[in-house]
Amino acid sequence: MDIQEIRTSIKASISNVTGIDVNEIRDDSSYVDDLGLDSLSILEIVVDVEAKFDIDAPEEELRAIRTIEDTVRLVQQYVLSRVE
Amino acid sequence: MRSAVVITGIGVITPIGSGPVEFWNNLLDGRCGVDDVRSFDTSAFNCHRGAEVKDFEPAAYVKVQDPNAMGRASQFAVAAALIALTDGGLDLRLVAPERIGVSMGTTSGEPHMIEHYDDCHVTKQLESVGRDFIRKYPCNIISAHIAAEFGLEGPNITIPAACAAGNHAAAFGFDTIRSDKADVMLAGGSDCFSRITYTGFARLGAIAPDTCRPFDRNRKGMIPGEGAAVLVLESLDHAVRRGARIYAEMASYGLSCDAHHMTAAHPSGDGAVRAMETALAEAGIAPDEVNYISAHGTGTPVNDRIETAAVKRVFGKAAWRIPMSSIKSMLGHTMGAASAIESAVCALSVFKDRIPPTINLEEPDPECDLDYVPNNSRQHCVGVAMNNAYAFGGNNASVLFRKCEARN
Repeated sequence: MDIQEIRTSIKASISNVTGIDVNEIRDDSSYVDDLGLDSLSILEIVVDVEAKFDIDAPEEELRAIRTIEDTVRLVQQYVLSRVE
Repeated sequence: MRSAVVITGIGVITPIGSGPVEFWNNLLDGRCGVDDVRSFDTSAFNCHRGAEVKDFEPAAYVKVQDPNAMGRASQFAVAAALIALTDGGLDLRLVAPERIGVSMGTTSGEPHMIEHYDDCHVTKQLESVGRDFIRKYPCNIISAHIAAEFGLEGPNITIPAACAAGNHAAAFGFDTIRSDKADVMLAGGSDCFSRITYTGFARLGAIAPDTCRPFDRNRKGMIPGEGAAVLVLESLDHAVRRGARIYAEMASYGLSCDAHHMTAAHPSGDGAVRAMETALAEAGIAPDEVNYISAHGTGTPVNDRIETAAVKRVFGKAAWRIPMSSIKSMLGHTMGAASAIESAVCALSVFKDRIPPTINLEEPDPECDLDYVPNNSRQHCVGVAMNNAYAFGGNNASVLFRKCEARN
């Protein structure tokens, strides 16, 4: 799975949870400042993304996420380490 | 060193059975107590369903006092207390009477007395209101009748905290034992089905036309019910010394108020979150150590959505792993008895490692996507159970139960 597929899938999760159109979600969008999301929406996006990629990241790593790109990098790290 | 508080006896009167054995078995079977209302004429309303207690014989339980000298909520309360004391094997001759007290919760008190007064008023027959009216209608009478029946001379209180009253009564009992003002407290709740209460909820538009479907996509509201529960709360020392069977420990409680609206929950669920977090912090329990949540789960579109969101905020990702069921799907909303019956269920779930279902859950709601134990009960190791209750006035109360090593 390449990085663009991961990015598209994450944006689909965000759109699914929040109703925001995928075209309004930039790669560098910040969840709180740009998309105006609260902690509950972010949690629901995390759960959706984890289910999609079969990941279970610890809470400390999730707390560090601020932007879409942070999420993409986290998923990529888990998916790549699994392949190896 | 403050004593731990444990549950050693359980008594229940509900629309699906009485006593810890019959009730628990029917609950696990998913038995539904909702039916057409029989006790009064509902033709003035656009809803006709309720969860009434069937075939209740007051004289079978009220032996010392005259059962006709008290209202139905007091009869239920005395009955549940008798069942709890018998279940707990507590020999009252061996306990100093001033060391046992009573705390009961209620929403409506004794509404049939008010209805009788209103009927007399409207037909201009106020002289027919008996001299017993003043001692039959005030809600404090419920706890007093339990005390009088069994000779319990300790602290005595009725707490009218509506749909959270049972949890408030448990909290009062807990604090009373921990501050060494009593060794045993009978704590619970009681409410009876009435025209007044039904009218109130019907006029609010809160009653579902069919049945109670908590968390279901097509849920349309709550179903009024009736019943009572009494738990024997006891200090751990007292319980161990007399060789009592211990169901569970009552570990802590958390209380809060939304300070917002009289019937609608605060949209952010902040108050509910604070009550849960306070209970967890007081007990030193981490959110992911909770194994079962007994939801408030009334089946109204708003409550179930806000409650789900509040649970997610407290438990994070663990919210999707912790089963949460609403027994209101089977009992309807038993008002002041609800959280007391739900506390009994939490204590039983901890003791027996089984959890009851949410029945009538046919179509999931995308906004309610947690594990509500749909339709079938389940074997589940319950080390810690949480009981949540949310009342009118934005009153939030959470109680935590956990396994007790000294189970006897």
